[in-house]
This record gives sequence, C-alpha cells and structure tokens, in this order.
Amino acid sequence: MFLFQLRNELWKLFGKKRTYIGFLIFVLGQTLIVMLFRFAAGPGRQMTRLLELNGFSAQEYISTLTVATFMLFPIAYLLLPLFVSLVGGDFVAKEAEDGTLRMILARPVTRLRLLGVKWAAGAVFALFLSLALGVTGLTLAALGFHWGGLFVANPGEPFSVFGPTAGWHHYVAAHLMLSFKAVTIMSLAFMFSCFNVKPATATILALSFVFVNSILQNIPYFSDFTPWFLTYHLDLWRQMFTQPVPWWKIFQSLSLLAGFNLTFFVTGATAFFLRDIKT
Amino acid sequence: MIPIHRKAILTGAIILAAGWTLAIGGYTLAGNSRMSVEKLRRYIVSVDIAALSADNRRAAVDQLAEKLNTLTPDERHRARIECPWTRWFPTLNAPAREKLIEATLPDDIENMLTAFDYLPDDLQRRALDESLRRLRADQSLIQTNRELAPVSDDLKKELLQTGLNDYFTTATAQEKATIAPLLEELHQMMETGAMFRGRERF
Repeated sequence: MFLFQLRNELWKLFGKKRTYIGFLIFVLGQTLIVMLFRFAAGPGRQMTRLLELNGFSAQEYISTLTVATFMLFPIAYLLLPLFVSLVGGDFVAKEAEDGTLRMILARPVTRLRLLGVKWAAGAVFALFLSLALGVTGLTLAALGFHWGGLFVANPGEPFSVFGPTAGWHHYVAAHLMLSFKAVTIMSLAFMFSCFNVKPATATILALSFVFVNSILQNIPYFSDFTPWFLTYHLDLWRQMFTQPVPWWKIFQSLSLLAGFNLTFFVTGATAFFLRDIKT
Repeated sequence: MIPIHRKAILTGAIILAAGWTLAIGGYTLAGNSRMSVEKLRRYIVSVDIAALSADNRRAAVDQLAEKLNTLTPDERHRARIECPWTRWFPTLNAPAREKLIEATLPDDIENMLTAFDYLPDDLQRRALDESLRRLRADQSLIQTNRELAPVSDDLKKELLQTGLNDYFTTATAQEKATIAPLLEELHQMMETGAMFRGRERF
C-alpha cells in the first residue's frame, strides 16, 4: 500500500511543471559553463598553466570528467539547495494553501502515513536531481572535451588527480553522496512546510537556515566550530574527490545527517499532528 | 491518561533521543576508526620485522603503506617528515628498504619529480630553499626522527646539479630516505599550489 501511495505521490510531483525547473536550470547553467570554457581562451589557459606547473599533462587532464566536476562545485553549493528546498517546501504547505489537505485527510490515511509518503517522494526527487546533475554535466562536457583523467582543485584541499577509471568511480560516488545533501535540505524545507506557513516561506526558511550555517562555517575565526555546522556535513560529497577518501569522516557525516533528517521529520510530523486542519 | 497532544510531543522526543543516541554512536565509532600517527607508530613498534619471513615482511610493509595512505593530509605530512618506519631499516636488506621508501612516498611523486625538473633553475633553487626552510620549521615542532641525517647544503647543490629526478632514480636506499622528507615538503608545496601562488615570495 505504501508503494502504491508513493507511486501516486510521485505521479503528482512529476506532473507539476515547477518540478522540472531545477533540471532545466542545471542544463542551462552547465551549457553556459561548457561553452565559455571551450571557446573562451582565458579559462583553458589558466587551467593548463595550473596543471603544467604541477607536473600534469593538460592534454590528458582537461577532460570530460574534469570539466563536469568543476561545474559541479558551484551548482551543488548554490542551485541544488534552492531547487530541493523549493520542492520540499511545497509538499505540505502547498496542499494546505490549495485547500486539498482536508480532502486528502478525509480519506482513511493517517497523518503520519501521509507525511511518510510525501517525504519518501521528496527523497526520490532529491536523488533524481542529484544524479541528473551528474548525467547532464557529463553529457554536456563530453560534447566539447575528450574522455581522460580527472583533475580536481577542491577548495581548501590539495589538488587531486585520478586516472579515467578511478576518476569515473569518484565522480559517481560523489553524486551518490551529493544526494544525501539534497535529501537533507529537502527534509529541512519539508519540516517548515508542515507548520502553518506559505510554501514560499518554508522554502526561504530552509534556504536561510542553510546559508546562515554556511556563513558561520566560513568565518575564519570560527574554524574550531566547523564540525558543529550542518553545512560541513552536507559537504561530505566533496570528500569523494580527496586522495585517499577519508571514509571515517564520511561515516561521521552520514551518522549526523541521519540524525538531522530524523529530527526534521519528527519535528515536522509533531507540528503537523498538533495542527488543527479541520476548522 | 496523557492528553493526545502531550503524547505526540513525548513520542517525538523519545524517537529523537533514541535516534540521536544512534547517530552520536555512529559518529564516535567512525571517529575511532580514524588512523593517526600515534596508531601508525604503535603498529611499527608492535611488528618485530627481524623475526618475520620474507613474505610476512612484504605483507607488513604493504600494511604500513596502507595505514599511511589512510591518514589525513596533515597527519600524513607529519608522518612522512618523521618517517617512524626507518626503525625497521637495520633489519631490512637494500631492496626491502627501497621498497619500504617507495611504498611510503606520495603516489604521484614521479609526476612531481618530472615537473620539478622542468621548472626554471632559479625557481628550482628558490623552491628547494623554501622547502628546506619549511622542513626545518616542521621538524622543530614535531618529534624528529634522529636516525635521519638532515639535508646538507652540499646535498642541496648536488640535487640542483644532477636534477631531482635523476638523483632520486640513482640514489641508494639511505640517500632516498634522507631526501624523502624534503620531497614530501616539495610535494606539498606543489600539490597545494603554494609554489604557483606564492612565486614572488620565494
């Protein structure tokens, strides 16, 4: 029954045009980056210089994987949270705003089941969006660049260099980890959506929470508190591009993200349970 | 009879307490699995390399390299400067020592050596000076390995004359061990782009 309800929720979610905004903007942004990098002289020259000064062949490392990866960083930081919180903030608040929540709850379904199905649909969307980001990035980069090794200038970390096969594995793993970030931000927006607020308010509250965390994390004097910020753990996907992969750090972040997701869901569910929807 | 609203809040609180207990448990467990220089040192002390057969020595060296490669960049840097594995040297023959040195050098050291030889002479000299300065500063902060001879000015001249790559290819195991910490410093400077960004500072 749960899977049947989930299928219907997904049907409803993917039936809305706004669900596809994220996918569309990713493609537009990535196209622009690939074209600029391919046809403008400056960016390619800068990367060639950086690679050659570090003893790496620009011919081998300015590749599909490298281009797809450097596009990933800004998009994963800025656009991905925006689109997952946009969808997460809609789940309950939009139903309440449209007046369809009462009708749904008139059916023999518990509030917890309803929220469970909606959260699961949001998690599926977040996973799709993260993987789509990887697929479109790779496809567009492949149109302008050859298949080769992966060079990653990970902000705040040493450079990482991988052969084509290892690079591909790291790229896929990074996107799987990125989906945890997407699911967590979606859960946060989902939690706000369970309160008596407009969908836009839920989205903005979730984004504000993430950005405030990010601001605090990036203040140099607060570096001792870094592991206490949610955004530090949301960035676990970046660890997949370091050599060697610090698995202990990834499992630490996964444990805490599981705790955060549970907190967001339980807080949202409690608030929703306490809400008076009938009057 | 607990009112239904209070029951919902209580249930939520209990679920959260249980969930966070598990999450913090997972966090602690993952943190404890982290490799450190101290654990590496303990491993080196715990292995009586002289008593091992050739196959077991090889396995011990492989295990050491594996442990070293799971260290965080900072700890790895510290371990490579300290080189605690040199205490195994007296019981190892020359090929085994060489294997140990190679296993404990950064994976892409060959790229670094080649890239270094392509740099202009002036930049090579300044990069070596800066690496030596950093190495001495690092060594003054950590427990230095007394078995390693410091890099002398004569050796520095020889490195510049011969070329880092050629010197390293033809060096003996002991010579490699001596310059390994310097190579590590150079590698870190090149890897982090410090050389590229701070050219004017050399």
